[in-house]
Amino acid sequence: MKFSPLALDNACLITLPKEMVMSQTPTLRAAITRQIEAGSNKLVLDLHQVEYIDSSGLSILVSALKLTQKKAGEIILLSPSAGVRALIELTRLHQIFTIYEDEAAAIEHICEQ
Amino acid sequence: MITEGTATSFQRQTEGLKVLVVEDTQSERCFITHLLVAMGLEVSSCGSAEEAIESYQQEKADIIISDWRMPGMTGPELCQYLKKLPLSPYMILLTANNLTSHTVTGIESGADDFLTKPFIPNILKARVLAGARIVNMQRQLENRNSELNTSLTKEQAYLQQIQEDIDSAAKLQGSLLPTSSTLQNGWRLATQFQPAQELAGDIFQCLEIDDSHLGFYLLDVTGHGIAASMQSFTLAQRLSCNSCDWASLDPALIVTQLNADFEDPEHSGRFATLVLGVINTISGKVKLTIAGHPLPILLKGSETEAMELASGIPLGIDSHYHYEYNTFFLSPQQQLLLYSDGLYECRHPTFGEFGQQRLINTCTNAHQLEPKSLLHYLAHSIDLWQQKKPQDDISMMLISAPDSFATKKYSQRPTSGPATKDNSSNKGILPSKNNRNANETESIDDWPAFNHEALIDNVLIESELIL
Repeated sequence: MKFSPLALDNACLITLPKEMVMSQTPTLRAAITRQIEAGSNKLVLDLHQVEYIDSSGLSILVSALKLTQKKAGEIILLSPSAGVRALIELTRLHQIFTIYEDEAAAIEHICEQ
Repeated sequence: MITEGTATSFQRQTEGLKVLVVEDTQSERCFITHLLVAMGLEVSSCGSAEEAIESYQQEKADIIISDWRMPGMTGPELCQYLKKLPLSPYMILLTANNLTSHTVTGIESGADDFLTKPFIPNILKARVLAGARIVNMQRQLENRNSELNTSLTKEQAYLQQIQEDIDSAAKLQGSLLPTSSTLQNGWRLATQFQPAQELAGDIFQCLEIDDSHLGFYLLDVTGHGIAASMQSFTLAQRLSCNSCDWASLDPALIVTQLNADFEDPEHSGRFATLVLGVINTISGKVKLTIAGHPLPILLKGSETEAMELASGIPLGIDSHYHYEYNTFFLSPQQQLLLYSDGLYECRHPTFGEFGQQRLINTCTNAHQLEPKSLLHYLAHSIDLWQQKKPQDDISMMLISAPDSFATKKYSQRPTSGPATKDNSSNKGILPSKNNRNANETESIDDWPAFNHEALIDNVLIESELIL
């Protein structure tokens, strides 16, 4: 997982790892939660490296969404692979997440004030 | 010379230490004993190795200073004997010479130190001090070991208690789930449940709402283990007959309410996917609400298809979300398979995910099997795919329509066409009090010759008539 600061102070690009499964859930969730608590309420979650995600991996995205919403922020999912997108659509989470395919566009959107 | 400081340190380090002197020559024995007593040590003595063994059995000395050559058992032999005991003393052997062969024999017999006679008293004192250090260190180690053992035993007992609790919780969880059985009006239920760990985040149920309606649900809380299973228990509790409005026969209403009550106190983002429905067991009409759950599979004879139905977001994400339901009909002999994602998300190290398509194909291959055997076959296929290492909870519920419906009129119905979506949850809901009447009305006279849409319209019109 990688955290890259963006032009806007409270915005951050988080590159998620290859696997987001049950065993990694607590660590990933804690790291993202810490980032949000530290003031980043506008996040781009870059999923392009994620090859496998299970429902507990999805719960990380959901908890990040709820946390940022509480802090009047926003979350954008970026470039999920076909498999990840299929799971997001199966669980109907695409109804609540904004999903971008283009990194520049996603960053531009999240940095709009 | 030993300074004042070390003398104090000597006393401190030899405190409580018991020394046994083994020497056959009485004058020597008295001399050594006298020296040791003068050093402030607690000393006893005896004239032979045999006596020493007897004395050691009665009172364990910490340090034994023994002569080499004695009538009967020799010093090295005494050493060998004592060192085999589980708690052996520190052994200092007294020798009359400096022979290498003596040193070798002494070390081989397990002696810790040697003292050549005659010796200067201060040398004896220093050797005793060296022994005391080792004895003290051993004592500390023993104490720590026993403390560790005590806490380990406590931990093990605690873990075992937890394990027993989990086992009994798992038994409770298993016993709450419905087993395969025959339901009202010839409908049948088959189930299969395999938790990944002892406790599952999956739970499912099938219940009789009245004599012509069955309610059922299958839900899957993110993850598995204790937290997930507590969450699924809570949800199941909310869905039990007493606390849930099944009599409304409106799955959308039930799910919307359940979602509004969903709590995630840790803000873990934990959510649950759910499929919940109501079946009219006389007409085969099914109302089904899906919350982010994998879509059911419809088995009709040799054909198997994943149903295309509308679905809402999982429970626990947006408490104000308004769910809707789908309406479709099950024809005689058709079967509806509900399952958790553990069934097809499991991965094979080389071939990847089992996948929904493979699941459908497996169902098609096994369509001639009895419901219970069919689920068994599916579970076995999955088990082989994940190489017998369960990755997620697996639950399955197969609801089978009877060979023909209870009322004669219905047995002439053609098999239903593709399922249709009824996204308007406000239409076609029967008020609970009128259920009985509804069925009677439905069973009166001419069921028109129809296509599927006409059938649904018909039901809608009838319900409006009742209203």
